[in-house]
Amino acid sequence: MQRFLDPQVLAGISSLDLLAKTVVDGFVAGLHRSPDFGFSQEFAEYRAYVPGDDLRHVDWNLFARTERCYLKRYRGETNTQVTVLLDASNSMQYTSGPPTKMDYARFIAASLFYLAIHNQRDAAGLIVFDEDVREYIRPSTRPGQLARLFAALERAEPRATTDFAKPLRHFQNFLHRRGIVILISDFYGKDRTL
Amino acid sequence: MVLLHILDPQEIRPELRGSALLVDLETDRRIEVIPEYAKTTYRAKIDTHIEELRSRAQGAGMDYQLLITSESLDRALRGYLSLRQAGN
Repeated sequence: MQRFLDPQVLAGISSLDLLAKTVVDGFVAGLHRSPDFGFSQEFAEYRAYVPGDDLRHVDWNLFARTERCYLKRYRGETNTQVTVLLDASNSMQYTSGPPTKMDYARFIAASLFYLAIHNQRDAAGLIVFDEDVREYIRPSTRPGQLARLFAALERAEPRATTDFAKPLRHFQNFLHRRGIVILISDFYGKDRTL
Repeated sequence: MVLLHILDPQEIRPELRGSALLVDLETDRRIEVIPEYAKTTYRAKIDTHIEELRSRAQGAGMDYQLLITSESLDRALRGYLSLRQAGN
């Protein structure tokens, strides 16, 4: 499993999609053997459907029998949302050997997105920034969200300088809900705005 | 909120065989560096920078993780699962 988490090996994989799947599958296989995380898909309870819920979680068998719409809930599954703030400024292209900091940051973001959406059914979103906000993808679990996030990561080529103030302001405006925010950066910048 | 601080191994422990010209990738500023500087002053400076960032992040109630680009990716993923379990 460790081999699939080695960044030098990963630098040889051209598709972020495949890379994230490889990393997360290896990682999750390792977790199942460790007692630290209850990575459980153990059935816990039914909850009544409310508009806006993801239809994929509806128990259609139950619906067919009772004509009531219920969601199946699993233990350890309090869905949250995760937003990655990704620094794509010029200093991120530095490397002494593959991968560059930018690619490494992309690997992490892609793997987090895959783990969040595919394994945990969390909503995931992305803000790419340099001295400005370059791209914003609102957190969601909609079909196609993973593909949108991966495409945005592919587009995130390093340029310009860093300014943390703008993305953080942007973040405050748009994401007032609870959730996890992950800021990925080399924290190389002239200011101390953080 | 979590800060993932990404650094190249050469940025945290630079090894120069001789003098080198370093170019700032954001401002294009250039400085010449001798191996002694990299080994002593630079190391102290980057260590201070990392400590400062860590303590300021923690002071603001954020988590901080330093990740070196030669390290495997599982620490970042573990961090995410821990936060999730903590009920964020």
